[in-house]
Order: sequence, then C-alpha cells, then structure tokens
Amino acid sequence: MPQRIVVVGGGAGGIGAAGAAKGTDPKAEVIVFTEYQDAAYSPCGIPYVHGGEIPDFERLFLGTKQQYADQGIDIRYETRVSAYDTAAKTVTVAGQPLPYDRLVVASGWNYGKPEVPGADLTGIYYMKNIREAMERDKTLDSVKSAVVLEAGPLGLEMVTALCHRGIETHLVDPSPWALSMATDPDIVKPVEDSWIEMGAKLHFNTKLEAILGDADGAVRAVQTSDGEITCQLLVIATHKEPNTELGAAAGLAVGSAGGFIVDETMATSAKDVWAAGDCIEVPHGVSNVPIQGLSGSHAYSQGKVAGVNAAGGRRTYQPVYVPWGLVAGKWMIGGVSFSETLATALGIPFVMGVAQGISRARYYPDMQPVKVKLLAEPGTLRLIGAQMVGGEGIKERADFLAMAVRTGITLRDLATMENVYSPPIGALNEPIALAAQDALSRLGS
Amino acid sequence: MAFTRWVRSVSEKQLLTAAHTDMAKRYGVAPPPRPAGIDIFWQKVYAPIYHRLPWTFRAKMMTLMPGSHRQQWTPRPPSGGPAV
Repeated sequence: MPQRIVVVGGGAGGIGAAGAAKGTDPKAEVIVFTEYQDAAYSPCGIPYVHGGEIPDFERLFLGTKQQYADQGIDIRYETRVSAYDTAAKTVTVAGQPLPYDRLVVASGWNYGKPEVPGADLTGIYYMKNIREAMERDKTLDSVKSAVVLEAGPLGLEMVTALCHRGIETHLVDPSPWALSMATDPDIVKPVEDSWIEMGAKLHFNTKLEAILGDADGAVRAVQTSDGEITCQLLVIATHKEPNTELGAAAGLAVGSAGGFIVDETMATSAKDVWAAGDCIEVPHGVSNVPIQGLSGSHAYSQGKVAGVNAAGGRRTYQPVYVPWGLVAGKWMIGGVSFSETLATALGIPFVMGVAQGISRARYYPDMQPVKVKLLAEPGTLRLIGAQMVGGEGIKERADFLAMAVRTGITLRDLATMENVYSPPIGALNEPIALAAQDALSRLGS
Repeated sequence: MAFTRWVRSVSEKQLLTAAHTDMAKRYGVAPPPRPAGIDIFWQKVYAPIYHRLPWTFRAKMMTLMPGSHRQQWTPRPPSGGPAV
C-alpha cells in the first residue's frame, strides 16, 4: 500500500516538500492542500509586476496545475484544512478526517494586522495572494496617493513599485529609518534619498493611529502621529507572523521566535510530522538564537528537506546565516547575518570596517559605487556580519559573505583575498577587501 | 502568547529601540521618540541592565529559551583547507 503524504500549504515550503517527497518515493500518494486558487507561484515577484518591471503575473507561476498533476502531485485548491490530529494521524477537511501516514506542515505566515480603527475598510492591500494582486493591479492606475505601512523588505519593494507607477507614495513607519530591524542608517540612506528623488514622502518615527474611510467604506486617508495622509490605497507591509494556530492546537511545540520547533530534518515534536517555511524557526548560525520569517529560498530548501525525510529518505538542514538583498529606490541593498544595529541591540561585541569601492574599473561605463561594512568578532576577527549598498554586485557579495561567516573566514583572510579584475565586471580593488583592510587599520594591525 | 515568546518579543522590540537611539546618535539621524509609559522602564532600566551583563551570560539565557536551537543540529566537519 503506497504511503500517503499530506502537505498543508501550497507556497514555496509546501511545493518544495511535495516535489521532494514524490522524488524520494515515486509510489507515494502526495496530497497538497491550499486554501487559495493557486499554488507554486512566486509572491516575491508581485511588487515587480505592480512596478512594471515584469510584464504580467503569469510569469510568476512555477508550473501549471496540469504539470503538477502529471507529476502525480494531487493539489487540492481552495481546500482548507481545519484541524490536525497527530495521535489519530488525520487532518480534517470539510469536516471529515482524512488519514495520513506522514504530514508536512507548511502553513506559512500572515501579516500582523494593524490594531487600529478602520482596519476592515476596503482599499487595504495585504500583498500576498496572486489573485488579489491581479485585481489590485487593475485599479492602480486610478490611485493618486498610496500609503505603505512599515518599511520591511516588501514595504521597500512596494514603495519603489508605486513610485514607478507614478503614484504619490507615502511610507509610514514607527522606526527611525527603513528596514531598521536588519540594516543601518548609513547603509539605507542612499535608498531613502532616491525615494525622495522619485517623489516619495517618508514618515519615520510615525505611528498609524486610524484608517479613515469614506461613505462607501473605502479607505480615504490614514491618521498618523504625524497628521492625516490622504490615500486611496493602504499597503500593509508589516512583519510576518508565523501561521501556527492549527499546529499549536494539535500540540506541535512552538518556540520563542513563534515558529514550530524543528530539528535538522525539519521534524516537529509530533511523530511523523515535519514542518517547513515561515511557520518554523531555525537557529541563527552565529548566535544560535532561533529566528523565523526568512526568504522564499529558505522556505523552498526547508520544504525539500522535510519532503525527503517525510518520504523515508534522509536529508538535513543547517543553521542559517541569512544573506539577503533587494532593489529599493535606485539602489541595491543587502547584507548577511548581523547589521551594526542588530549587533548593538543584542550587545554582541564586534569590530568594524567600512569602505566605499566601485563595481567595475573606474574608467568603464556604468561603473557603480559599492559600499561595504563588515563586522567581526574581536580577537579572532572571524566575520559575523556585513551590510552593503551599491548600484550592482550586492547579491553576489552577500552570498559570498554568508559562506565567509559560515566557514569562519577572518578579516585577515578577506583583507588579502584575491579578486577578479576585468574592467567591465570588476575593479582593481575589491570593496570587501578594502573594508577588511579598514577594519585591520582601525585595530592598528 | 506563551510567556517565553512574550519575553522575547518585548525584549527584542525594546533592545532594538535602544539600539536605534545609539545608532541615531552615531550617524546623526533623527532618534526614536522619547519613551513614555511602561516603555520608560524598558528603556531606562531593562536595556541598560541587559547591556551591563556579560555577553556570555546573556547568550546562555537566550539559549535556555525553548526553540529549534535546542534540537539536533549536527555541525559540519571543519574545513580541511584547499584540496590538493
């Protein structure tokens, strides 16, 4: 009798798990439940369709529904799982228990809903579901003014996208600078300056107090601690809350970061139940503190690990070092592990080096500035974090520096690193090396 | 919300706010608003005491909280240096 593997959630984690489970045990019956009309698309691409960089939403789908059916993955769309029973090994669907042999929970996340009056008005956009995004996009040309609430990664991308659409865009954030949980004010300043050049209005240290509606129950303005801002669209880009309600009710252990507790195989506290994606927490490789709410690539990798193990194979995941990067305003911004702000918040001791370099030979057309900031452990000088902003080359440096942190590379290694010098693609002096040399110079080394 | 989740959530927010104040001074940007109400305790008492404790003690307290970090995570073998 083939085993039945049930996957709850059709996002990156769930689809990664389903595909990996089927690949590990081709005879297995793999059923994916998603409450949405679609599965297996890239929500990360949505801001770029809104901004006009990507011409249509269809490109965001990883595969067609028929392709998944042809692979033997049974995706049940618009079908909500309302409960898990890990003792009886069933999930409840439409009021009926469905038995499983192995369960993978990839229930994802929800936005933190603003707890202010007016939160139920129309015109409030929680950007996540592609069908809603398609409908919203049709109305964007009639929006004169929009507010983006909070400058997290999605918020940064939506401010940029809405500016590209010619919409008067207001960013409202209770923190003192954009992406302040992950980056430093000197790193994000070029982004903020470029938003202002693009016509955006930035309201930092500003709290949302109420959402105001018109006679038809649609958003017409937001009331903030900095006054009233007229808008026809409010984009919610608040922090991601892990969706753990059903699992917790079924007894799955939840950790201090709010996600399901898992081990290196993505196994939860319940027998024959694995979990992956934004609903779990994983340890940070430097601090060993569990964290939650990473990227789509993390969710997909975790899903594959969960799927392989659920199907009877063996694969393990690793603590994370979190390389990240995005385009915001006219710049690319990125980093790894700790920013100076976060290290200061946690009280982690560090030494630092900063350098302003360039991305290509100084004389080559389209040469871009690249600023790199490195943080390292005092004494050993092992890298613990990095922050960068520039016109190009940020993603590659973030990936490289994540491996540097993971493998214990030191400032001395980076200060003497070899680098590609080719006028169209690399400068004589690599900005990472310059930043490491700056750090050693500050130490008198 | 479980107690440890609450402690971590509040602690993170308040320590980040304290760091924002430090960083704002360091980089010449507008700092967060002055604390009010219960935030005065967190900013004026909790955050300074937190930072006076040794890092090793704070790290130990963080690892005692329930979480995935306390499960099995097999370290990778150390690098053997460049291949021949």
